[in-house]
Amino acid sequence: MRARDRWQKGHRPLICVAVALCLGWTMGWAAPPPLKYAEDRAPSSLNPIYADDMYSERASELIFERLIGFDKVQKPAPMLATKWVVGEDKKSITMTLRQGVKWHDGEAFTAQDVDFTIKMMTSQRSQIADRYLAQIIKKVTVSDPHTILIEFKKALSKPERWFQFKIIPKHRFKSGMVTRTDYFSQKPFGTGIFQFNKWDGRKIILRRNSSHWGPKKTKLSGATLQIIPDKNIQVEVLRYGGIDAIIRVRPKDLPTFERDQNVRLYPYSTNDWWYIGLNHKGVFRDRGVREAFVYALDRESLRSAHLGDGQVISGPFSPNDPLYNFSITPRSQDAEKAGQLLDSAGWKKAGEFRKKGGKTLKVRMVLPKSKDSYKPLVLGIQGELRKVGVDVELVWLNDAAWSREIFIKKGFDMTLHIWNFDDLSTIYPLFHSRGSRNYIGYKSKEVDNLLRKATLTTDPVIYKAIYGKLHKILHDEVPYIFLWSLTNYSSVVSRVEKVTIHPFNYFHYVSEWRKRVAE
Amino acid sequence: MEILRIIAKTVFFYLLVILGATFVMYALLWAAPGDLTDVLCPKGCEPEMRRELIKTWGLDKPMIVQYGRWLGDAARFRFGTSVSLRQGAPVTELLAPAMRITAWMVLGAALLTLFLAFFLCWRPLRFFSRWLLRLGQFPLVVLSFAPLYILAYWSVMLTSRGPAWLVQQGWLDPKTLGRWRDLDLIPFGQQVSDEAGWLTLIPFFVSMVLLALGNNNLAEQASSLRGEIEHLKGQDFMRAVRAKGASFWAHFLHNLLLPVTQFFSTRAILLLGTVVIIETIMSINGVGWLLWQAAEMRDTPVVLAIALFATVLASLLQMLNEIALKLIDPRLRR
Repeated sequence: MRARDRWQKGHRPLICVAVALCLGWTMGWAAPPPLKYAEDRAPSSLNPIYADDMYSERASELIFERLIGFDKVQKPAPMLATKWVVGEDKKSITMTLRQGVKWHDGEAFTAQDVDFTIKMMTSQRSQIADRYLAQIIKKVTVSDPHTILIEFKKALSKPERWFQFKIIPKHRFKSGMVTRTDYFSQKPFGTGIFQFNKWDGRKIILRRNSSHWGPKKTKLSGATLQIIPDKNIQVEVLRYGGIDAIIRVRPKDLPTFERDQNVRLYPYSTNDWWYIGLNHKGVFRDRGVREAFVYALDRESLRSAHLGDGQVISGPFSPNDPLYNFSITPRSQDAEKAGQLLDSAGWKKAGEFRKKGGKTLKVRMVLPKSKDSYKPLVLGIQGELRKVGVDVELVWLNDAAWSREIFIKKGFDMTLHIWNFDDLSTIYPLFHSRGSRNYIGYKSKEVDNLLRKATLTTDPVIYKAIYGKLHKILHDEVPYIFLWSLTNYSSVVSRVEKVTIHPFNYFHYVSEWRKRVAE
Repeated sequence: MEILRIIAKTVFFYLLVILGATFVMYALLWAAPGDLTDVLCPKGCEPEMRRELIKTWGLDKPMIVQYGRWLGDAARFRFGTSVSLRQGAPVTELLAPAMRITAWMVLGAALLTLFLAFFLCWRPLRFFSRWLLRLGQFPLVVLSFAPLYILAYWSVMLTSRGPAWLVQQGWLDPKTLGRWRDLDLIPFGQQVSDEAGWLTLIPFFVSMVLLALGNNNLAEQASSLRGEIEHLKGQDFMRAVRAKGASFWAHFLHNLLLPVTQFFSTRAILLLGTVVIIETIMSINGVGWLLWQAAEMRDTPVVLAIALFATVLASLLQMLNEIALKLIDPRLRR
C-alpha cells in the first residue's frame, strides 16, 4: 500500500496523534515543573493550628484551605465556603460549604471538619498561643453536612473576616484532640492544591493534588520548600537556577537581582511595623524623655541606610492599613529639641552623657540574637542617642531568654521589635492597660475607653474614626518609638509567570502561578 | 568468669557516668534563661495560655521530677517527640540520620588522626629520606596548630567560588548546572557531571580531615606515640624476643595495641566534643548541628537524646578501651 493510500484509508487520525505527540514532546509539554522556594529555616509545624512562625504559615498555606479567602482587592472570596449569610443582628453567620471537596486521603470534607477545627481553636486544652476565636465564638451548630451556623458572643462588624483560619480533618484525630506533638505536624493532609509527599532532610516536597476542586487547577506539578539558612547562599542558588523564589530579599541584594534578566522582583506590602518598645517603669515614665528619644533619631536615614524601601510611621499602624491616620505627620529629627526636652526632664549634660542627681542617663536595650543581622541599625540608633547624651547599653540574648526578659521579667529599658499584623489584628492587646501584650506597662484611661468603644461598635465608619483618634493620642503620648513599615521584595525567576503575592498569606494566589519548562 | 566480672564492673561504672552526664545537661537546660513557653509564644503568651502550656509540659514540677520522668521513658527507649524544633517528629527519626553522619565522621577522623600521628613519628634510617619526610611532616604540624574554626572558615572561603560549593552542600541540584558547565566557574577546573551526586560528600570528607587536623596537639600526640614505641622497643622482653630469633613484629604489634587503643578512644571522645563547631560552619546535618538548633529552641527531648547519644558513644569507646586493655595486659586485671 502506498503512503498516499494509507493516508486516505483510515490511518489519518493515528498519524495526526503521533505528530501531535512528537510536537508536544519537542515543545516541552511534559508535566508542568514544580515550584521551588527557599526558607531560612524549617517550619516548626505543618499543622496550621500550631503554625506559629511564618515558615510554618507559608508551608501550610500550600496544603490547607480556609473557609473564606481573599480576592485580588482583598475582599472576602469563596473558598471552602461557597456562600455565607450574616445574621441581621451581626451575631451569627450561616455558611454553605463547597460540595465534592476531598481531603488528600480521599475522605469527603464536611461541616463536621469545620466544627472540629473551631472546637480545637477555642479549646482550653489545646496549646495554641493565640486563641482569638475563643473570644468571639459562642456556639457552632452543624445543620447538615454542608451547612453550618456559627453564633458569636457579641455583634461583629465584619464577621466573615474571622474565618481565615485553615481547616483540619476531623477523621484524622480519633482521640478528639489535636496536640502539638501529634505526628500530623510532620505528615499533614488537607484539601489544598498541593499534598504532602515527604520531608527529606532539608527539603519538604509537595505534589499536586489532582483531585482538587478548583476550576483552575494549578499549572505547577508540585512545590518544594528548600531550607537554606544562609541568605547569601539563597541568592546564589536562585541565580544558578536551583530555586525559583526567595520570599524576602535583603535590601543589599536588590541591585544584584535588578541587574539579572532571569529574575523579577515583586514588591509586596505587609501590615507589619517596627518600633522601639519603652519600659514605662524606668526613665521612660516621663513623657518628655520618650518624646526626646523620638526627636533624637533620624528614622528616615536609619531606615534607608539599613533596611531599604519603606515609610516612617507616626502611630501603631502600617500605612497600608485602612486605619492609618494620614493627617498625623511623623516627628522629624531635631537634636536640639531632644536636648531641651531632656533638660526640662532634669537630665542635664555633664560631659559626654547626661546626669540627674548624680545618676547617668543610661538605658539597657535588650535584643534577640535572631536579629543580629540588624546590628548596624542598632549601632546607628545607639550612635544617634549618644549624640544627645544618652548611654545605650546593648544586651543581646538568645531568643527564648529575650522573650522571658521582655515579656515576663520586664528587665529592659528599650527593645527593638516588629508587630506582624494580619487582617484581624487589633491594637487592643498592645495598649489597653490590661492588654495581654502591653508588656511596656503603658496606662491611659482615655486610650482604654476608646479601645473598649471600638470593640463594641459594628459601624465601620465609627470604628475608623475611633482608631483615627487613637492614632493621634498614641502619637502624642509616645508609648513606643514608632519606627517604620517596610516594603518587602520577593525575587522570583522569570520562568515563573502570573505571580501575585498576598500581603500576609504569601501563597494565597499560588494556584494561578505558572512555570515554563526550561529551554 | 573473670572477663564477665570486668565487663559488669565497667558497664556499671559507665551507667553512672551516663546518668551523671544527662543530669548535668538537664540541669543546664533547666537553669538557662527562658523555657519552652517562651519559644512557643515568641510574642508573649496570654497568662492563662502560659499556665496551660506549663501544665501540659510539666514545667511546674521540680527539676528532679522532670528529669526522673525523662529518665524513666529513656530507660524504656521512649525518647518522645520534638516539642519545638520540628513539632511532632519522633526524636529517633530526627536523630538517626544525624547520628549516622556524626558517628562516621568522628570515627573516620579518629582513625585519620591515628594515621597522621604514625606518619609524624615515622623516622627512616637513611639521612636523605628523613629530610624528605620532614618536608611532608612540617606543613602538617603547622596546620595542626591552627584552631579548628579558622581551618573550617579557610576551607569554606577557598571552595566557595562558583556553583560547585552549592552542589557540594546539597543546595543545588547538579542537573541545574548543565548550562554552567562550559563556563569557568567551577573551582580548580573541576568538571561537574549530571550524575555528580557524590560531590555532596565532599564537605563531609573535608570536615573529617579538618577534624583530624584541627586539634592543636597532633604533634604532641605523635611525640607521645613515638615515646611509647621507643619505650616498647627498649623493653627487656623485646630484647629477649630478638635474641631468641622469634617474630619481632608479632610481639611488637601486639604490645603496641595498648597505646594505640588508648590513643584512638581518647581522640574519638575529644572529637565528639568539637564536632559541633565543624558541623555548624560546614553546614553538615549531623548531631552537633542538630544539638545547636535544639538548644536554641529549648527542645529538651532532642537535646537530652543527643546528650545521651554522645555520652553513650563516649562511654562505649572508653569502655571498649578499658576492656581491651584488660584483655591485652593481664596485669591491669588486678
